[in-house]
Amino acid sequence: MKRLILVVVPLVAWALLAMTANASDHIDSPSVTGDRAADLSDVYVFRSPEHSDNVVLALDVNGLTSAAEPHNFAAGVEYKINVDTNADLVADATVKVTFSGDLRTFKVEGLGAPITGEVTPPGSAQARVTEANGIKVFAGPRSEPFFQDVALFGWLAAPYVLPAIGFRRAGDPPADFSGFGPVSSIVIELPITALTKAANSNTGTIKVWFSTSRGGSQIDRMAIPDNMNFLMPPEQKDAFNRGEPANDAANFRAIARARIEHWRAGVDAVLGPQHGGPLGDLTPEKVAAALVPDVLTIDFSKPVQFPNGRRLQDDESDIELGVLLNRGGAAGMSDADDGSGNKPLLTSFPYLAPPDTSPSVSAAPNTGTGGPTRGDSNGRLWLVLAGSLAGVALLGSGFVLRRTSD
Amino acid sequence: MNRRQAATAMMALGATLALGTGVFALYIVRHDSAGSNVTQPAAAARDPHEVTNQVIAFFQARVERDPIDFVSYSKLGEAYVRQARETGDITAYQRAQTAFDRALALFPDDRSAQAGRASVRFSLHDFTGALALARDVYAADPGATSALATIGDADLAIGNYDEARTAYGRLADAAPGASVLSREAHLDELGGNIDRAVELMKQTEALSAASPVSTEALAFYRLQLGNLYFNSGRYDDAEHWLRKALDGFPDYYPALAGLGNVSAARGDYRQAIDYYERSVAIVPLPVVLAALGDTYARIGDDRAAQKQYATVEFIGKLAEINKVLYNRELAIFYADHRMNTSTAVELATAELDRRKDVYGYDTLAWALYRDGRPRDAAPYARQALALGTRDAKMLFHAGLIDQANGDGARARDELEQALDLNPHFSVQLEQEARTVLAQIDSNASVEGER
Repeated sequence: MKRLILVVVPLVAWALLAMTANASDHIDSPSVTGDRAADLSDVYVFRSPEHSDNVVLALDVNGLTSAAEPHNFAAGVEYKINVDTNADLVADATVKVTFSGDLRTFKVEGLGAPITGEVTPPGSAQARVTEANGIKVFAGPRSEPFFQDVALFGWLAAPYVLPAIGFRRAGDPPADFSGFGPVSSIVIELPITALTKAANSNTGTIKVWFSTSRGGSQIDRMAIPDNMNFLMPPEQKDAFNRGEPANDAANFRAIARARIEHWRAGVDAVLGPQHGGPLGDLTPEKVAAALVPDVLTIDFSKPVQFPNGRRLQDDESDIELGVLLNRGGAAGMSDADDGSGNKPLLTSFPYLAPPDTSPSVSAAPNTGTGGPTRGDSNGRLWLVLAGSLAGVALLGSGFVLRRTSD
Repeated sequence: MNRRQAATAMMALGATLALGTGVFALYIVRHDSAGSNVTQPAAAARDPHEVTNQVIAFFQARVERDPIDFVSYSKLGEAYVRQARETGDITAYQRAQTAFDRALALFPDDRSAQAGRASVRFSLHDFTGALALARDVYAADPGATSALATIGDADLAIGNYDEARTAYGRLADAAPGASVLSREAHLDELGGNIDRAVELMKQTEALSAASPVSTEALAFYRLQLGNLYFNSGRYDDAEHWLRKALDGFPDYYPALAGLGNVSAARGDYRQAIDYYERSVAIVPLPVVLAALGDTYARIGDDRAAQKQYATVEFIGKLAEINKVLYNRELAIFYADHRMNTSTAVELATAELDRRKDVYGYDTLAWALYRDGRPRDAAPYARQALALGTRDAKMLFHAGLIDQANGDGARARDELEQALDLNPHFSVQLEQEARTVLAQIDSNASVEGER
């Protein structure tokens, strides 16, 4: 999910006067930055590809940046992962991550003894991984893993004609969220049983939601991607961000249902009425009940993939659309963005791809000076591997020659 | 060499080649990304203009690739606003406006673009327009803290002080941090509580220095602190913070102007001229041009002084937008130099109509006084001081007006306050303050002798 309506950066006027020690006759103070580093852009919960007994919890902030400037986490913000193990929508365990004032170290609490480690600094692609007590932690820049056609937001308000597949008018080029600067990611991998308290890693159900707060006051929260954007009208977004799952049904379910009815009516008007989609009689009421409260439910006895958790590669946009609109199959709706434009994920921790540090994207003066660029090093690598192969071939031939010369 | 020896040689060569290239391959893979040897880039080491240009280029490229990417249009707008702040170039605001308008044409509910549009209106001095837009955004989304900030700022500019205080109070709850502290410090300064303003600004500066804010924002906070010190006569402290404002932002023109003020206050006029010249070479603000002219006059170079004064007028009238931005400054300039005094009154009257803040009242009071109408000036001078602002120029204006209206005691008090607060508040006018004060004292002693 992308935090589209970010309270980000809109700047307050700089008056081109009054900066001298004169009648400072109106306010020129800089922008209210809206705490971008506390604004969750995406969250993920998935079974570890490396160790199937482990679960990976990941959260991203600092989405939608330009990569010309490094961004980082913020000191004073608590990044929390809330885990409910008995389905009462109250956290039974809370993992809390905080950062030192100089943003060089992090501290993880709530998983036994506190774990401290080095933050991977902005601009660095080399992941610094902290391991302790069977738990791995990473905090630092990663390539944006999210993928969704930007127009998917536009269609919610703009008068597009909706084609059967995809959300753009014929001829519009697609554009997604790849190409934005790196996000700041916290990735934690730990044994599934440490969270579920179950006998093994193939049983047990947990509900997870992520939140950020400052000084005890919640700033943002997130679980099911796109919930806020799809289900909450503009005037509810702030209340939703400060809300908690235990109160969600009472506060937001009716609003969510009305919103779903609104989207379906809009799509019906363009594509004609839809009766009984591939998900059967999925009424707005049932969808609202499934999406609110805003928690990710993971049942480890089933494959862990969206909506049963969320992997990095899950096309949640298409799945959500299908659920929201109950239009699948031949009249399937898709935003036609499958993530192939993103950097390939890693097969090992921390799984999210390293940030792009090539000179054309990052402008930090110390990239590309001295070290090879990605393009250069790939070329050299092939040359060198060819050399290796030649060496091996030579070794092999020599061996055979020796044998046959006896 | 026989076959066996050749074979051994081949194996040896092959092994060396394989091993060697294998190791080399590993080396390349390990150092594949140029980022592996990157240390955290120090924000202060990079030219802020370069960074902003890159941000602009990034979002510009995105919207060119995808004309319906309203997210990027909105962010492009924000980048242009930032450019405007850093360079003082008004046209950057106009480019920002275009970008926000495009974003909103594509997605009318884009809160960032709506709030951005409101803030640009504010920057271009359309305070009522900015207020209306910002209120709409905030009403629709109580989480839109940037719109809330614009509401406070616009209310403050217009003189709605209670509303501004309320807005900033809400902002402090919703988005605590440097930018709201800076605003609260300004409110404190307006209310005459300079010490508290200084405390808040020290906190603000420390917060910003420790966490990632833009280079320009950090420079601004240091500037604000430096100016607070100058306004209260603490020239050494002022110099310290104004110099720090130039750290990493060597052409931050308001800080250069501030250092000019400090130099002039110390009687170091040539140094002051140098700073002012550097500042106006970057952005020729009327108020700095006037100070430069006054300093030239002080050292007896009347020709150079007149040249600056002519430029003040020229710029003040240059374009429609300049008239909106600089009318108040022009009125003050005329009044200070006893020229075009009836025009000054007209300009000040029109300004007060638009903005009933304490400086609007002060400008009209001063213009009326210089136009030979101290009785008319009196009520406006009272209004100007209604918040208890401790501003040497305002107190000086009020002192002259009260003296002309026969209230010597009050005049004396105001003039003394002004000179106590900032003995060198104006290269041009401080002498006038001392002269009038001396006159009051000698009148008093003459009367006393009777």
